[in-house]
Amino acid sequence: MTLVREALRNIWRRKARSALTIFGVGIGIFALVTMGALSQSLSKSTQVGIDYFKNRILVTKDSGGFGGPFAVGPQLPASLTDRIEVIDGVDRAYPTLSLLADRDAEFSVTSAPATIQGIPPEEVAKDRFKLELSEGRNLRAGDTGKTVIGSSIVQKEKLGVGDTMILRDARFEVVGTLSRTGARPDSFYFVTLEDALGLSRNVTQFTTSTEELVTNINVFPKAGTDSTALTERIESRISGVDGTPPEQLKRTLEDASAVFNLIVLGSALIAVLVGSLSVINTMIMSVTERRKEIGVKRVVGARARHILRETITETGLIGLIGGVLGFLGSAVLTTIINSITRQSGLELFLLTPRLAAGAIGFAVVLGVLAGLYPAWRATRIKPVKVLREE
Amino acid sequence: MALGRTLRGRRKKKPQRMKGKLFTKQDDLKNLPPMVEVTGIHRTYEAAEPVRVLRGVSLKVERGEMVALMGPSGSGKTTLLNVIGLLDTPDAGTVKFAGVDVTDLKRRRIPLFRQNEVGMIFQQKNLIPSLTAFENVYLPFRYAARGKRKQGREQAREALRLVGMLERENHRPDQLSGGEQQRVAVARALALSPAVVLADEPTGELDHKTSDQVMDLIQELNRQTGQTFVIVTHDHSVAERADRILTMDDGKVVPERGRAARPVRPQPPPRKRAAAKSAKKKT
Repeated sequence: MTLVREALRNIWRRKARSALTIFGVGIGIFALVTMGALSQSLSKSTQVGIDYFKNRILVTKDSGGFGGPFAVGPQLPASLTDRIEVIDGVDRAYPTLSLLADRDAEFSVTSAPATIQGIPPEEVAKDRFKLELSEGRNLRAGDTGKTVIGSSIVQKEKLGVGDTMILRDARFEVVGTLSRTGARPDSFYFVTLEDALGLSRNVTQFTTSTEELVTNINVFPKAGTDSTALTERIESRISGVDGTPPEQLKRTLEDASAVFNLIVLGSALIAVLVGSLSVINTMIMSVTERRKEIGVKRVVGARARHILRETITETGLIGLIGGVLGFLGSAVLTTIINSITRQSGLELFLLTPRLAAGAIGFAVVLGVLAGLYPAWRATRIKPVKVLREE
Repeated sequence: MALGRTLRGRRKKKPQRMKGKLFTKQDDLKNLPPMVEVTGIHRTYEAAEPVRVLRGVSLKVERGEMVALMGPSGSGKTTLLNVIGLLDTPDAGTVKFAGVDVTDLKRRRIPLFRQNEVGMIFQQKNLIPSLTAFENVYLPFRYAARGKRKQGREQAREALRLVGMLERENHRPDQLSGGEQQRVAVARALALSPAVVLADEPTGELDHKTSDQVMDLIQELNRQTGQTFVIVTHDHSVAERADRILTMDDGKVVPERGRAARPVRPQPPPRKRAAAKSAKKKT
């Protein structure tokens, strides 16, 4: 305790300089936590996506690119499902239809518009991937005018089981609410495929299409089937479709996530490093100022390790204070931004206890490392020289 | 954790620590070696033109003795004090404490030696400004072995009580007068009951009255504790209080002429005599 008390006093002795140094560390940790929370949110969302697509091939309209999981609107004839199901290696397949709840809504960095997901309940029930209900029940075959809603919609629209609401001019009753996933399903209205097709017809009534159009077809390979080979078979048998096997989806999602994480964490690390340089600078100045004190300590029996320990305790404490302040600043900012973006169905930041402990621990370690060089310099001080100084 | 431990392996007789002093069971107190004995010390500072500060200094200081070192500036007094306190390494010569050669003590053992055997008082007090009077006095215990640290609080308070500063234990140096600061510095030097106290111009920055008070204190402590004092001073009134005055000039000790201010005590002080008697009875 004496060690910590003296370190705190020494920090307090040069208030302005210490405050600036702590501020420097704090900014670095603030950037690290904020970017880390962004990265965590993305990682969680990516993981949900990877789990969802783990054993399914997503067949979409051939748009010459990757649009699959993010595609909305009627694009493919639902009848293609029957043709796909007979292809060798296919266990089962079902179509889904995604529609924007608000026709004019747009995707952006800070918002994920609420989406109506038309699903065949009897098929979805067979899926390995399950979304957890927080209240009520799942959709059943034959349900009409019923919906199960994601957690963001529950919050934003203040809806609960038994409430009714209007979706694209049609009345729906909420029969279930989902637990938070931290991913897109939080902004979904799940309805039966028949209901979604009904809503879609309202949209396409002025088009010439007479077919039932869906957004994509989920294809499940039989056990032991090579999904990549099956995807190629589907694409060769049915023209105008694009299949994405789970491996490719996983790779694509992970790559995108990794690149993003690298950029955000890299830039945050630079900020932290700048903070640690300011710690080194401050401590070198402090050690120079306290040469005589260190000399006196050596005279009364302090060994090099004592001086080392005292200096490092001080820099570690600077790191700890900076880390805690940086974390608190980031917690306030991310909470405010999340509360704003939640209105748009998206939580940009995910602040976990692990991230908090990691960032603060990192700040302390960085403080300690930054203190090594000044501490080493302190141990080199010769009492006989410094005690002569005026 | 006395010098005996500091010098483990360098001495055949196993030393026994007695109240901060050095004795062995076999020691006959009347024939004890001098507390400090320096022989043929040379020290040259490297510079564009090397400065020979000490040129073969030899002296002995007996146990419980108070010796004043005088001489003009640059005569090598402080350097000699630093050499005795192992703050500086001589180019040639030996330094013995209680007959034990500590000149070539391993570097890692030097802090332990200083902690246990030498207390230092400086002209500039050198108190740590961020610490209270108590914390400054407790400082040597912070770096001492765990066993000593436990009793350190009591001992530090006892040292403060001895110098009459216990009531101001929670004051920082900037809240104390120059004389009070020097008293705290004296308490710090004495806190771990070192065998030898080295004082470099302890009254150099004090007015006459305060200087007298500090010297009264040092003299009283020397009598009470039987610790050996070597005091560097320019002040004759300070030197007059010592048992013996040694004068340095041009890096050498000038041969003693005339008598010391008061006779050198041939025997250890009462505390040590009692300890020696009981040791003798046992043998």
